[in-house]
Amino acid sequence: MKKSKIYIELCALVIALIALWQAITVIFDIPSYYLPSPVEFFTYFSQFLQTGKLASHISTTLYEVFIGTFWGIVVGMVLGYFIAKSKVLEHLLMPLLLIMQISPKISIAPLFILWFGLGLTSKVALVILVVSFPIMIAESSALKKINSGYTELMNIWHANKWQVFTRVELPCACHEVISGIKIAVTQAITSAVIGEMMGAKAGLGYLLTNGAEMYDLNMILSSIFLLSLLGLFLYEICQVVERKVLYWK
Amino acid sequence: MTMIEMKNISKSFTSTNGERIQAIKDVSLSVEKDEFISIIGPSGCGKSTLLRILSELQEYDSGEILFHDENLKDNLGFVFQDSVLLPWKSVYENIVMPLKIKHMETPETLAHVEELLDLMNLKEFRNSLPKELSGGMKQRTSIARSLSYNPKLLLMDEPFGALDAMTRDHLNLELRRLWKQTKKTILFVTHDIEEAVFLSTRVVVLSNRPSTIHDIVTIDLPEERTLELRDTPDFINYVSRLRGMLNEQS
Repeated sequence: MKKSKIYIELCALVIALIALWQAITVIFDIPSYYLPSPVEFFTYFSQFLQTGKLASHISTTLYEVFIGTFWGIVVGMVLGYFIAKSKVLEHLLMPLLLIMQISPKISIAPLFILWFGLGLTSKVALVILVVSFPIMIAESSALKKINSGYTELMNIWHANKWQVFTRVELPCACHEVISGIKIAVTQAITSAVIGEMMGAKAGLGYLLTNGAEMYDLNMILSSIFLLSLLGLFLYEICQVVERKVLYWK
Repeated sequence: MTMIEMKNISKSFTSTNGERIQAIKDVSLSVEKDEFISIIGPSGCGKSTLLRILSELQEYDSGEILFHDENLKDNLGFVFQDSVLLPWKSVYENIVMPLKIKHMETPETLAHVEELLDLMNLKEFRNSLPKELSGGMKQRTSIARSLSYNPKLLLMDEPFGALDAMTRDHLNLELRRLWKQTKKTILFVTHDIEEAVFLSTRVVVLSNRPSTIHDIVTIDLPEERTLELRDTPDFINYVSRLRGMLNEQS
């Protein structure tokens, strides 16, 4: 009941903003190459959708983000585990990983494009790089503060390392890891788009540069609109997963 | 029949400022089958360390531990002061957890779990999550979990230390009943003298650091123990004798 009310309010707000946008373009007579009116924009957008070209751009970016995020989570989890378990590994790996993280993603993107080509691989690699870090940090810090009673019990039952990981460490780290994923997905989209803007054959980032080069504001706006939707969608997925996984909190 | 023999166990720690602290020195104790032994002593004297050494959670520096049944060492139950239940698992799932880990889920062991649920009065809470349980219920679940794989030896490290007096009395009665019904050998660390006398067949009194065995008192009270027993002269005698010993230590 309360939730549906929030949605209604949200919809009302969005409609009001669109109406305001329309009003501004009409009242101030803004030319469409400067800012198209919502009516113009949505007509353009639906036509673009119908051609099917937009769908392939969307799926390209979605693919990069999903595959990248998935492997980023895997890499982050593996690294996080070993960094939490071994002081030596932590001292060896951390400076290296930090340097890779501190350098701006834009500066790494051309490198990856040279190495992995204009296709999907370079963007996926970029997403993995961005996603794995917050997850690694989240997991290793979560593993380090697990109640020692749990691990002692597992020792008493002679559990092997895999059993300890799946039955105690992973569930204990879930909360932190999911928070890490939430931060990571928003950044995953950013880095996929950066990669596409630097050099690509398709994707929403490619659409952005294309639009900018052709002074096509409608194209740019379509891309921004879709990227925001995509971000919102991924974040919502995280929220749903979090509620399902952390029922016991 | 002797189950475990500890011979001259010593253990020292290095504290954070680099000092060597001798926690336990030359402790020798033999545990007979079906005994209920309580270990009491001044706080910080290494009572828990002794249990942790027995369960291989900690190493010891010198001495020898003989298990007369090798199976015993790999299959012992341990109950901590904190119930350490997994918060995402229900009472039932927590109790069968060791069976899953040890790959011991058979119709027989699962039937045994049902008996334990019954014995510990946990039937109606089987699907509850730990956060929905009171402290006493959590500790019952923890005890049931430690018994799920039917260990012969149960080590308990101040299991009722964090509970209120009423719950504690209740659980003492239940533990005593459990011990008689299931024929376990129990080593029980506590700082509560009355609890030790009430539950035990023998009480081991440890001295202050470095801990040695100060005395072992055999508790010769009736088998059937009720809460009224605590008002009898015999019981009070035991308690004051043990309290005297502890006071000497501190």
